[in-house]
Amino acid sequence: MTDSAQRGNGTPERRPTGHRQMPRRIVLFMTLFTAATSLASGLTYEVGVIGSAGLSFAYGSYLDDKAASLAEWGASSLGSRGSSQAELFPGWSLGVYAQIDLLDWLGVRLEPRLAFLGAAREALTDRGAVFDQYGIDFYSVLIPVLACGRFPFGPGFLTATVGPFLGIVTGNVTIMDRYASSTTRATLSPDLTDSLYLGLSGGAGYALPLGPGVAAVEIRADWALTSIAKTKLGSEMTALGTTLAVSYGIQLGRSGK
Amino acid sequence: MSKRLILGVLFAAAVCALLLSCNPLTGSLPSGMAAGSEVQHVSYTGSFTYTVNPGDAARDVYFVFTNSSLTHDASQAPSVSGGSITVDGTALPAPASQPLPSKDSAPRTLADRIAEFNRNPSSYLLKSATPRPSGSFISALPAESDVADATTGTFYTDIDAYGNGTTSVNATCREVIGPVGLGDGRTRTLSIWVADSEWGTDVDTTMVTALASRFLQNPASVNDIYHWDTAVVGEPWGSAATFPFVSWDSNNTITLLLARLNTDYTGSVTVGYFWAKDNYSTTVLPGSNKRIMFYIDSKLYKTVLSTETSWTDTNYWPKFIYSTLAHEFQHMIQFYQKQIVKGSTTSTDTWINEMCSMIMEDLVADKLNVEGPRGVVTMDGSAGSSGITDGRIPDFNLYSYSPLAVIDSYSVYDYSTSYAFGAWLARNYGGAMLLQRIVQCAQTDSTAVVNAAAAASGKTESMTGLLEKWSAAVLLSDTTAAPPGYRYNTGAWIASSAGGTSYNLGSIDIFNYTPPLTVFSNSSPVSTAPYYSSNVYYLAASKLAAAKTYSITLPKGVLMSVVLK
Repeated sequence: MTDSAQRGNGTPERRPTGHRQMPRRIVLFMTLFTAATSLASGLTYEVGVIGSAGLSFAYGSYLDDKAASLAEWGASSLGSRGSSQAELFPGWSLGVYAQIDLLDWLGVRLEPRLAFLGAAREALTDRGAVFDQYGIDFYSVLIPVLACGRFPFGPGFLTATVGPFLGIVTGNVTIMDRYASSTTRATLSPDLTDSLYLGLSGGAGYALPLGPGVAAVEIRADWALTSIAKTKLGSEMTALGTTLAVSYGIQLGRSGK
Repeated sequence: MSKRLILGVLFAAAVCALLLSCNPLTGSLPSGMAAGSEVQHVSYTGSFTYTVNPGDAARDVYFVFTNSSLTHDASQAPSVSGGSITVDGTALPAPASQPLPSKDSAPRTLADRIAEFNRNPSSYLLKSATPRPSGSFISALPAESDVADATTGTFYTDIDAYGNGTTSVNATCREVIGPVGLGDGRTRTLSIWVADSEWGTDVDTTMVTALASRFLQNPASVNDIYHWDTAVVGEPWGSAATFPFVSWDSNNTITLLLARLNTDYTGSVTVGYFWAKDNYSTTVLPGSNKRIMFYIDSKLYKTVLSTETSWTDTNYWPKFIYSTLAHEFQHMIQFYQKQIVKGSTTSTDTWINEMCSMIMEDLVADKLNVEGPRGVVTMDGSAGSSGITDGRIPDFNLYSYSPLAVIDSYSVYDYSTSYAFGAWLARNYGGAMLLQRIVQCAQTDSTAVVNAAAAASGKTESMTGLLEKWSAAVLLSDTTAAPPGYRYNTGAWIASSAGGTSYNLGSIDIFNYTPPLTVFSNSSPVSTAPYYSSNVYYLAASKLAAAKTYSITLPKGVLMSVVLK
């Protein structure tokens, strides 16, 4: 039993996300979702905000082709070749969530987030010298539907989440290449169909009651399983965001855990 | 409890902030990045914006649009907008519109028919019952019986669609070299015939002797075309040839017929050819001369330019003819190696076969002491200096946007495109061994080229990748520092070897030739959809000093390469 049971029903606090790019339709969707769940008497539900930051990676033939091309450019003889190595590239996401607890330990969460994903690599000559730096980045709305488990452990809960997500590239895909002092930047705008992709989201962490709600820290991964902007890029690319997520939610409804 | 949690959250926030601050693409550049030319190959489609910031040094910015389809023109022209540019204060020349000869639907010239036959000989075989040639035709005379200034005969020089001889010339054998023992039990013989109508007018004994010494020397020498060509690509005929092909005579004779091959000597002319019809039995192809032979134009061999005083074997046209011997001999060898030894059921695509012959010319140019298709003054391994008008590159420059993979109605301009590509290919992918790999394999299309390149580089290659790299190499040919794969020009000879023989390929700087490379710009924008297997060059900025953003639209299937230099 937690202190969340003492708070009773009420309108969940809506906190500003602080991010100007949060689409209005997501906020509207969340409101509707919350309203719907409030009608489901007897269930516990939770709404909150979540933010995460960490590292982002990208894979696929698009980057492989680029690496192969640069490997040739970095070769000093026909039989040799340069190489590429990943650089740390920041990724982050910011969003809200609404969760219905189906069992004491299991809930279903809708967690739309705006995410920044991408990757950066360095190209090295066959003698190991860096001669080119390149990368790709884009904003994306991720709409995961997550199964959320909470297992009592110490003063709080161990948490685990997993589920599919729909990704939508919002705005442009930017590709940057820096060679010596010159920089080139391609800006691609995929159409809606090209913007959609699917993936798997999940993570694990720890949650603690804090004030009127529950705060949680989780290690999260958002792994795109289908190509992103394939038509526009001309070849395949997927992304993986691995982040440290911090969330805060308020539980509402009947007795929870 | 809450205090600890708050501390934890703050710690997490700090970690997040640290991570977010480390975007490598917005920070300072890694140290040690050397300034130099840059090439990027991009595969985006549709419309996008492209920003170029030249950084510390002003750069020329080129976009090259590649239609990598080997069969289809692009659906539309690529477009580039974004600021006007000037090139040295003047607009670049817009190329004159040209109905590409390769698009002609009904090729009917002799050259077209020869090329078509060599590509698809089976379509001519056994098409109708026909009269057999009479005894006076050369096909009735075994080559081993040739005697100089004594043996006469009649050669078919053209056939109809049914393989029947339609045109003929009377000729006399004027020189027999050999049988020459090659030192390993093999013997080879050269038999030179001259059309009777040209003997004493176009051709004399001196000219025949000079021609013979270039092709086959007696006693055997490693310094003749026979040895140079065969060391790379193999023997021209042999025991693998069985019916319906002719057997090689007991002296293993190669016959060379000097006759007038052109009815008109203005414009582009035919210098020589190999016609595989002569390798067939008359049982299946009545117009065959039943010899392992090729043809050389006698009038061109005799021609003395106004800048020359009299005929010598170092004049322009004799040197061109000697180079052509190496060229046509490659065709002869390739026919045997692919269609007979390797058993290919299709013949080599015309652009590949011609490219191979011009690579062969390139390989033997310094040995023959001729300019060859590179057009640089004899024996100079450097890229020469500006103003070169000889060789194949000037026509390539004129029509830099022409398709590469032309297989029918192959024109003089297509030779230039094939050579420009082959010259780059040979200088980057093994030289003589590249040629050997292309010829001595069963593939007859671009697969042969791609496989040969991959065998040299040890990497996966593709025709698309080769087209893109070639396009960048063209633009980087004025530097000797381009990396392997992009080298036309090292400033010196580029060495290779095959069959125990060493070969040199001279450096090429495309910008040393006149006319200059055709490059489109905003003052002469790309107006037509790129042809199949072509590169379209576009100068986006000359000496760009500050960041500039372009709006680019690429049709589907068209790739773009960016070259900063």
